[in-house]
This record gives sequence, C-alpha cells and structure tokens, in this order.
Amino acid sequence: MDNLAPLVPLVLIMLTIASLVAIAARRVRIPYTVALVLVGLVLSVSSPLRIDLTPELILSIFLPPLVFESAFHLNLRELRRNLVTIGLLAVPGVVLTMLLVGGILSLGPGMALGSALVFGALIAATDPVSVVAIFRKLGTPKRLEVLLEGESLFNDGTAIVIFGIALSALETGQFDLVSGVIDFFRIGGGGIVVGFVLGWAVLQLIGRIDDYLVETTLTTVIAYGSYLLAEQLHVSGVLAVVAAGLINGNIGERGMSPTTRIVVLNFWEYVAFLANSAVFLLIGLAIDLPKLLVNWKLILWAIAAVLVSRAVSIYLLSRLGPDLPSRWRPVLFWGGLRGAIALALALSLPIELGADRETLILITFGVVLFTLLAQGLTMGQLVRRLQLVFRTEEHIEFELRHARALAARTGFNHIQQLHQEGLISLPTWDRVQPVLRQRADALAKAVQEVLQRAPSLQADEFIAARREELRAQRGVLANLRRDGVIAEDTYVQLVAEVDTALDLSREDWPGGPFDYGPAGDVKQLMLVVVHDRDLESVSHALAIRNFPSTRIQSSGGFLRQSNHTLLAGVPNGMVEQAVTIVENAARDRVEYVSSLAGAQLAPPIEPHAVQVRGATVFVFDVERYEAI
Amino acid sequence: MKLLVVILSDVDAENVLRKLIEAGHRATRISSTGGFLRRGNTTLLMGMEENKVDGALDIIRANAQPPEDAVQRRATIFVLNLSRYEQV
Repeated sequence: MDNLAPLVPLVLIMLTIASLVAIAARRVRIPYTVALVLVGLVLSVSSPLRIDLTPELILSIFLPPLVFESAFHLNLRELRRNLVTIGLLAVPGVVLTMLLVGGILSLGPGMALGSALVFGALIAATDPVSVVAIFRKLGTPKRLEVLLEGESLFNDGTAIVIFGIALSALETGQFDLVSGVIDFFRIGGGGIVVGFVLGWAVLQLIGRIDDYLVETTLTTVIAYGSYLLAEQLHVSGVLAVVAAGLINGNIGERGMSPTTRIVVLNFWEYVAFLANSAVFLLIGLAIDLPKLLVNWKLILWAIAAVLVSRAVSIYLLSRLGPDLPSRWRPVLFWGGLRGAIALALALSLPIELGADRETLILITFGVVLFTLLAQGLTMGQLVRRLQLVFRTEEHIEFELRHARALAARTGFNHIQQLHQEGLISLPTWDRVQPVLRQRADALAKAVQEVLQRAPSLQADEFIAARREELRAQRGVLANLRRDGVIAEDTYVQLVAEVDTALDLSREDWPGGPFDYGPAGDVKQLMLVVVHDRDLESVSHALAIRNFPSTRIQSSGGFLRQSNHTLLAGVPNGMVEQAVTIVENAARDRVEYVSSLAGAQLAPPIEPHAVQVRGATVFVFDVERYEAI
Repeated sequence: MKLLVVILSDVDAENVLRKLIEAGHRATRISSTGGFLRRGNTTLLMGMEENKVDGALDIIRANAQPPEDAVQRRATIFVLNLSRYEQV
C-alpha cells in the first residue's frame, strides 16, 4: 500500500495540469489533447516528475473507461445496419494494417520485422473522437459517424488482441500461424462472451432499481469488472468491456430512466475525459524531445505507412461490403485518426524491449500527433468541400439569434424580478427598463424573421420547445420535492410521467423531425430519379428539410444503370426549395462509356465523356392529399 | 380520370389490395422503402374515375392497421389529375 501514497499528490498535480491546459487550449485554439502532450513534453524536460506505472496498470486503469464510454453511447440498431462495413474494417482491416505498416517499415527504413509488426498492430486502433465532434457540429450524415465510431470501437478490441499475439511472438521469437489464428478467435471470442454474460447479469440488477447513483456505480463495476475478469481468464478484457458497454447502452436503455441515462452518460464522459487526459499527459512525460527530433525520418515513414494502409482499407477492402456513397470514402479515409488507445498500448510495451520500446513510443506519438493536427484540423474543410454539410447557414443563424434572444429575455426578466423585490429602485428601473425591453423585443423579432425565411426550421423549433417544456416540468417537480411540498412517492410517479413524455419526443432517425412529415398542405408530388451514388445524400437532404421521401428501385435510361426514384410530397410554394435541395445534393457528373448502347457492331471506340445530369425531377399537381 | 398513388406498409398492402380488387379497382404494386413509413413499404398505382376516388379512400382507411408508433402514418395518398388514360 505504501507505493500508492505518493500517487495521490501526483494524480492531483496531473489533474490540475490537465485543467489548466484545457482552459489555455480553448484560448489558443489548439486541440486540447495536443496541448496536453506539449505540456507533458515541457515537463519531462524541466522537472523531475516521474510516473512509474507498470504496463498492465496503464492498460487496466485507462482502457476500460475509454472503451466503455464509446460502447455505451453507440446505438446498436444503427450499428447493425452497418455491421458488414464495420466488421470488414475492424477485423480484416486491422490485420491488413498490421501487415502493410509492418511490411513498409521493415522494407523501407529497415526496422526489425517483429517490432514493425507490433507497431503495425498497435497503430491500427483508431480514435475518431475529434472528427465525430466536427461531424455533429456541421450536421453530416449520421451514418458516417456510426461507421467511424463503430469501426473504432471494434478495432480497439481486435487491435489489442492482435497486438498481444504479435508481442508474444516477438518476445518468444516464434510464431505459428494456425495457433495465432486460433488464439485470436479464442481470446477475442472469449472476451465478448465474458462481456455479454457479465453485462447481462448487471443489466438485470439495473432494471430493477431506479436510483441513478446505484446504477452509475453498477456501470463502473461492469466496466472494470468485465475487463479484470476477462484478463484473469486470459481472454480479451477490452472486447469484454465493449460487449458489456453495448448491452448496457442499448438494452439497458429500457432499464434506465432518462434521468439515469443522462447521469450515467455524463459520468462516463467525465471519466473518459480523465483517462484521455492522463494518457496524453503520460505520453508527453515519457517522450524525450531530442530523441523525437532525431527520429524524424522514421516517423515520416510511419505516417506514410499508416496513410497507405488506411487508403487500402477504405478504397479496396470496404468494397467487399455494401456500397458506400463515393463522397464518403475520402471522409472515411481522412477520418482514421489515432489517439489514446494506440498511445496506451505503446506505453504498455514491456521494459524488456529496451531501446526498441522507446523508438516505438516515439513513432506512435509522431503518428498520433500527425493525425490529430493534419487530419483533425482539416476535416471540417474536407467535409465542406465534399458538400456533406447539412447544417446550413440558416440553422446556425437561427441558433445564434435564438440564443441571443433567450439571453436578453432572461436578463430582462431577472432585472424586473429584482425591481419587484425592491432591490432596484424605481428611478433606476425606469431608466433601464425601456432599453432592455426594446433589445429583447428586437432580438425576438430577429428569430421570427429567420424562421419565416426557412420554414423547415419550425419543426426543429417545435421539438426543442417541447423538450424545454418537459425539462422545466421536471425541474419544478424536483423543487417541490426538495421543499417538502410533495411526498417522495408523488414525486417519483410524476417524474416518471414526464420522463415517458421525454422519451417519446426523441426521434431516432438521423436527420431530425422526420416523423412530422411535410410542413403544410401537400399540393404537389415530386418524382426524382437519382443515381444510386446520390441516393443517400438526396434523400437525407430532403428529409431533414421536411420532405420525407419514399424510394423505389429503378433502372435504365441511356446508360442502363441502376438508380432510384424518390417520391416526395411538396407543400404549396415549396417546389423551388425542394428542387434546389435536390440540385445541391446531386451534382452534375461526367460518366465514361466505352461504347454507345446498341452500337455493338461498331468497332470499340475510345471512352468518351457523357454529361450525365445529377437527377431528373418531375413535378405533378396533386389534387388531393391524405395522410392516415 | 384520377391517378391514386398510395404508399402503405408491406403489412397492410396485401389486405388493402385484396379489398380494393374485390371492390372492382385495379392496381399496380411497386415495392419501395423508406421515407414516409420508414420500413419496407409498398406503393400502389391506381387509375380510376373521379367518382370512385372516395370509395377507394374509404377502403384504404378501413383496412390499414393502426401502427405501433402513434406518430407514424398508416398510409399516404396522392390524388393526381390524369389528362389521359389508355388501356392498350
């Protein structure tokens, strides 16, 4: 126990550093994790701060929260829809990455094959947290998020299993392919089984109680417990945590009230933040700056190798699975960031590897830094350039105006309250009141104006208003209970009613107010024939602006290709808007044909470009529209 | 003459179609997906005289099951004007 005592002040120092860095990073506009690393680097040079953690400790303290948090908030249904692609990227993809990166590094700069393969395995774990944040901000298709997050979750698991196998091969100096494969399935599968069993067992408990403190504690037990139990049984701890997290996050949803779910999500967001910060800070401390600069060539090789293997995964391997919109591939390619998991694995390399260990930590760090900076910071531009941004200027403008109006109104109300309580005298109130009121009114009018410009925003506003109302209700009930006006039982029952209503207002389709249908009387039927490649983007673009569509598979036309026909009801006066949406989502494209259809007897001609319009739109007048 | 475009869930399609045919309407059935009813659904195309439209709508209303989700709709119907209808 004595070696834990000096740990406490150390942990406090680290937390303080992390907090200060977070505040500073916001001012300077660099990613928080990058700032942490830089601070760690500085500290390692200037101070005698030494953290002595064994590799096993690093993995078992920091991995479970990072993995559990990702697994917990991933939606199983959306995961299942994209299972094949995610599976391809997470299993064969990881093996492919290991082999390609290992191969390139051993052939190029002449790294020892064993170490190169170990590096290849650990660098295969992706961490798209920062790009997912960008996606959410810009409103890119949810499916892209699901693909990257799902891939990351599963490749964390498989990368660790393969990393373990590669490491033991390196240490023992021998490797047998058959037993390697058997080990992979045994360790991986075993981990998943342990996670499911434990997760399911705890779920039964969680379903029986409605106390968010206890339920949060149970999730902590399950996160660390499944990891430790699996490791004891010599199977994959990380995959156990993944399985447990997925179960509790999805099926567990029904056993947890929305209040509990919010608390649990917040708790794990915090713990994951701590773990992430710790890993980045530790890496900064562990890196020797001069050595980093000396190895720059090796680092460049590593970055190139990682990019090559990512390109192969996304552009070749994923073609074995279901079709993806072609505009998504560059995003998936560039979104393969590396982060805390790869760093933690590097830190966990046994000391016995000696100088190799330092080198591997250095290049891991170099690759992670590159992905965070070069890829993370430019992803926003890439997404905009590919026109995958669906959160338009109007949305942003509406949010700005709405927030300003809300702030002004709240301020006004507060001052009015103070005046009524006699805390502000009449003369002051008379001077202040008209100014404040005028400002609040003007801002409110600005909100109305932007809503009139873009009526589709009204549906968003409606949902937000409903949520706000329910939240306010819940707040009042809590106050009543606290002040003893209502009894505990009454409170519980009333809160349950509010929670049920909140649950219903949550729409699970990625795109928003889908269920509310066309905003207004449908006066026209729009038929849009789109290429398969544009299907997702056109139908998504229409749906989030309240033009939900039905798809019919079709084919033909000049080039005999498969396409889709969308049917959408269009309210009065919105045809222009709908057509513009289609136009923006389906660009003109140039296709190459090697022979004109029907001209088979002619000698094969050079491929020539045929201008293919993005989509064809028919608009019919609707005499009558019924939705029953 | 009017063209009715009816979008229903697969579950209701069989039933509604049968009842429509029994009542003397003719329909073409297309499989479709997503959009209004979000799952596998069916689109029916029917041409008919103007005075038969209300009858058809009644049949659809009577035979489409209420959905599990209160927010979803059971059927979406467009009635379009046909300037010409030929059966060749």
